[in-house]
Parts: sequence; structure tokens; C-alpha cells
Amino acid sequence: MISTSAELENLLADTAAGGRDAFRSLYGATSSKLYAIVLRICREPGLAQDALQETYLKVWTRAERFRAEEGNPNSWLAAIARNTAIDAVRRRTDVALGMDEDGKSVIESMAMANEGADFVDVHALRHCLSGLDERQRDCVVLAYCWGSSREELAEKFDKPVGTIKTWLHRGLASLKACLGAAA
Amino acid sequence: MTDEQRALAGEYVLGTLSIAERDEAERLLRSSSSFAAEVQMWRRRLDPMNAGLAPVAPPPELRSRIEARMGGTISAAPSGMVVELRRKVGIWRTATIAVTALAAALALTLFLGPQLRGTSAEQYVAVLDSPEGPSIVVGVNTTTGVVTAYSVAAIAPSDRSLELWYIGDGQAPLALGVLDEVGARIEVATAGIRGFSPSGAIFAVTDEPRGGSPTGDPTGPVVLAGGLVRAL
Repeated sequence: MISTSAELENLLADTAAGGRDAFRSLYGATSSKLYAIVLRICREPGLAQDALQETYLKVWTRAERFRAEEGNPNSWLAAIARNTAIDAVRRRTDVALGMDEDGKSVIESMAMANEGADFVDVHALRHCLSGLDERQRDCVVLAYCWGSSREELAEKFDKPVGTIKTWLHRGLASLKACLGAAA
Repeated sequence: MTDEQRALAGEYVLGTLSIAERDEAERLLRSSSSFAAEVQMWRRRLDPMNAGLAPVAPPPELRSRIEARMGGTISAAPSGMVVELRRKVGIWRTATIAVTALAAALALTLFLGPQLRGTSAEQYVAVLDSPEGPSIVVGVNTTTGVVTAYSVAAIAPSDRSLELWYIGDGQAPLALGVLDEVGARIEVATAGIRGFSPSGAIFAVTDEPRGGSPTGDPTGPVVLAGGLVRAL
């Protein structure tokens, strides 16, 4: 995102104290990014806008739970947005599954990212995802980016849910080993 | 941490857990610092997958829709206590939105009774939630003009009372009565509430000395609060 982590941390602290101006600034600084995240998962603008609205109401009520030592404000906000969007699509059965997506396109898009200080993290994840078994990587990326459930992945790969679970676990374990080495 | 817990933390961040597994992950998140650190690690490590995503501006009216649900704006409030009360109520109200629709439907069936079904009366319900779940249910029937509050779980601490307040949009809190034990019930005619309107109304419960606030204004902290929603 455009704002630095320190700026967002200050805005979150002021929001936690009930500051509506701070909330408004936080919204201005982060809503386009979070909307892109929820839109990718929800696919439909109406559903995505409801999810974004829920996301910011959670940010308003939970801002005091954010502590700088608990992580980076960007990833904290992104986690709330993703969870809210995933809950929204899980409640709906009529949202078309986007099964044409694949992990490769995400890795390619990450190459275009220019995020300043986060560049090292982007590069490390890109490198480590590229090294994964292709099916394990696709499961991890589809789940993260498009909110695919185990059942949806099982359908896409025509495998039992138990196999998908194993692929996710192996993919995550390999990813962690690689990221640990790259850190 | 076990391998199983490590996998749970990773899948929790991915969003692929079943509801039961997610409940387990959230329990561990609160109780285990190593599990929380693992979740944190995954959130930070996977976040770069959002980096290549081109920002998309949401529709401009979305911000005002959000702000409208953040609780009332306070400009000419009667006292500092009320400002504080309304601010807390705003937080409570937004925090309970997720469960309100379901809880309201349940409350209507369980508590407002079957005689209301099939009528054209406008029903409004407020479910005042504590972290443990719904505690006090408030129903408003605009046809009979009665506000009914019922305690389903709230119990006052010994020597204290739980006092229910009606807070109209931009108005000072008005005491409706005390609800000290499970099963306690209050009925108040809306005609007795000056300027009563279900729209924007909030019900709040404060912790007060036995029998209720001695001053007529809230003196203790807000322990429960919720806004009215249209129930039928």
C-alpha cells in the first residue's frame, strides 16, 4: 500500500481511540487495496462492497486489538478483509467458481509489484512459490487469492478432499522451509 | 507446537479450514502465543501475494454507508457521560451486527410470541449481546405501542442493578427500569417515551447501584447495548 506501516499504525491507534478523522484517513489510504483483495475473492461487485463495508466496521471496532508488535498493519488489514470476503462467499452458493485462475498468473503479477521496503518479502515469496510442486503451489495460491475451499480445489483437481489437504500441508511446509532459508 | 498445529495455523491463514477446525484455531490463537506467532508469520509471509494486485477504488458512496453504521455522530450531546455512552454504544452496535439478524428472528419467535405473526404490525428487535451471547432482548411493537425487554441471560452482580436505557437519536438516555435476573421483564408504553422513534434508537444497559441510578442519568459503565432492527 501507499502509506508506510508507521503511518498506518498511527491511524489505527487514533481510530482505536474513537477518532473518526483517523478512520477516514485510514479508509482513504487502504480501501482501494482492500477492495481489490475482496473483489478477487467475491468476484461480484455487490458482494465485494458488502464485504468491504463489514471489513471496515470490524476495523472500527477492533482497531484497539491491533498492536504494532502483533504484526504489520497492512497484513492485519488484509487478513480481516480476506476472512470477511471468504465468509461472504462461503455463505453464498450461487457465486460462480473462478476455476480458470492458476498460481502462475499470481507469481507473474508479483514480479510487477513495486512495494518499496516490502520488495524483499515479495521477492522471497515469489522465489519460494516458484520452487513448489505445481499442484501444491496452485492449491496454496488459489486458496489465498481466490478463497477456494478444499472442496472447490478437490473438484478442480479431480482428487479427494483428503488429497487436497495433504497437498496444502506439504505446500505450506515446503514454503515455510524455503522462506526460513530466504529470511 | 505440534505439526498438526503448524498445519492448522497455515490453513487458518489460507482460509481453507472447516468451521470446527477454525473454531479450534481461534481458540489456540487466544490461548497459545506460539500458535499466534505462527499465524502472524503466515499473514506476513503470504501478504506479498496481494502486492501484484492493482488497487480498485470502491464506489464513493461506500464510505458514507460505512460511517452511517459506525454509531451516531455526536455534536450537541447533553453531557460528557452521554458522549462516552454513545461512543461505546456505537462500538457495541457494530460489533453485534453479524449475529443480529439471526438473533432477532429467534427472539421474535421465542419472546414476542406467536400472536404477532401474520399481523401487519411493525416489529423491531434489539438483541443486546455480551461476549458470551445474547443477554437481553428488547422488542418494540409500534401497533400496540409497547416496548418489552426480557433478560435471557443477564444477571446483575450482587448489590448492583442492570438498568436499561432508551437512547433516541441525539437524545439523552431515558431510564426504562432494571433487569436483575434471568427471566426479568419490563414493559413500557412508547407513549411514555418522549419523541420515541424506532429509527436510530439504541438500548443500553449500565451497571448501577441496587435499584437503579440514583441521579436519573447513567452513572456506571455500559455493559450491554444494541440498536433496533426491523424484524418483519
